[in-house]
Amino acid sequence: MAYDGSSARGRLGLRPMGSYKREQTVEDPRARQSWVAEAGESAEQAAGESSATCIEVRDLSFFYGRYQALQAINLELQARRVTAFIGPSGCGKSTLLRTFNRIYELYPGQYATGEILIDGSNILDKRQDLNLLRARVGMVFQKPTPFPMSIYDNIAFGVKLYQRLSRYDMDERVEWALRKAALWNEVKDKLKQSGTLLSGGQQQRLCLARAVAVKPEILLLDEPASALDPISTLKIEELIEELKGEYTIIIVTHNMQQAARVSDCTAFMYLGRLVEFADTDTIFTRPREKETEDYITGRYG
Amino acid sequence: MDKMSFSHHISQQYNEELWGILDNVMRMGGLVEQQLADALVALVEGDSERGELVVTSDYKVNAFEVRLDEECTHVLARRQPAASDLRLVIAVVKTITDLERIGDEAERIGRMALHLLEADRRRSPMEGVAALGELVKKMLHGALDAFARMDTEQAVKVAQEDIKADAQYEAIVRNLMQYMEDNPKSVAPIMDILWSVRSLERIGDRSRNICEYVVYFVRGKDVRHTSFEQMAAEATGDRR
Repeated sequence: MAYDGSSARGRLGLRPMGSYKREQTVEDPRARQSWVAEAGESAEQAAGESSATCIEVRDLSFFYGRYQALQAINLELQARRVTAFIGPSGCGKSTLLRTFNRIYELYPGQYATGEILIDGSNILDKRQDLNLLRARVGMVFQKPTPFPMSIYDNIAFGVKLYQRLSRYDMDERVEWALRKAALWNEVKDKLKQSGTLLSGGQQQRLCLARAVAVKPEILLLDEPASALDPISTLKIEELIEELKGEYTIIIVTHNMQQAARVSDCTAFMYLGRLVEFADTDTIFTRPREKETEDYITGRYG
Repeated sequence: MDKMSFSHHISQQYNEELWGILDNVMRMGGLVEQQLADALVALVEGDSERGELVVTSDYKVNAFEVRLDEECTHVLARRQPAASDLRLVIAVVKTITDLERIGDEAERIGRMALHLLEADRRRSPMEGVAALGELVKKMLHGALDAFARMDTEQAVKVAQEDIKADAQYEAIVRNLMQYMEDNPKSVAPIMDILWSVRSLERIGDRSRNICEYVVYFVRGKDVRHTSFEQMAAEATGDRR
């Protein structure tokens, strides 16, 4: 990658060099303090454009029949950020993720109470159109789930459910989605081949392409790399980094280092409760709660 | 340090690695304390044997630094420490750098002491040097003790001693400058004393640094380059 000072700075949340107040000396410790605070502020300002709330969870509880899996969760997720849900097995992180597109409704006896506001409207409302919701909120699962059809059709299938595109436009969309998922170069010569013949890592990127193809606003990733080898995992993580400029991404992962690598914010869950939610740096360097500390450092709870 | 707090990892091997690192920091600290004590005896009492000993023992301090850096690198690469474990490793890496430099300062004092022995000691005004030496020795010990127990209150107390050390250092320098003006022929030995007290003053600063790392480890707050008031507030304040 070519060095581009301005974009690197943007990614690090720094303000361009020239705008620092040069006349301020750093000799007086107090002056330095304000200088540091100012640098911090500018990082927030740089991030400010994408910090609008996208998903607001209010008093969300979830039940598998009589068993309550989520205990009154309150959470605000910001648009165009990557948020990671971490926590031990059975803590409710996947359950929480699955409420955002109401995919749990495929199973009888499962229900949620409370509110989930996406851009201000409550998606748990009975009047919510589920097909529309799932077009806005895409999902990729732990195990790659390509449809038993060609690579091309794997992507076109979902698009056809929501949009009527000309052959030409559809070709373009398929290529666009495959490029987004960094898969185009590997499959462009075999688009008619079955998607199930791809490697695991390629299949998972195909699923990401399929999710991206319908142009959702939010992408839910449930352990998207846990079945993949380290190189494929890094490719998926690189994709998440690329995609976050346009999508709000929520990832459930057992791999704490993965959460630390890819996410902007991290939520730690335990026994159906949201224990701590903060920016990822804070969670991994100085978490507020002992339960979080014990979990991320690998101690006995 | 409460050994227990590093013994709760699910990985027993990890516990042992962290505990081994802390153990080595303490051993390195003990060695550096001994170096400083010997250097002070050499300087204040004119003991050439001790002076030689300090100069020839510095390699041991250096070896500790290299070994601890390696152990910390190992933990970073293999364990990906997070939260308090990460802060511990960072605090150790920084602490041993300061300890190694304190060792260097002790070695320098030892060398200057040997130099001074060649000169006429009656022309070497040592007023206040012993007191400053005792003060920074106490600071180093206090800093290591605060590190061992991860005691932020003590860290603040020790760091505040640095004000005293700086004042004593300045008084000695003023005194030596006056002496040089009055006795132009004794500039050479006085320069040796000047270098030595300068080293003592630096040891005070570096002991203070170690105290700051203790606050960083315990509170997660970087208190370097802040005022004592801010440091004290961070060290005792509510973590949230």
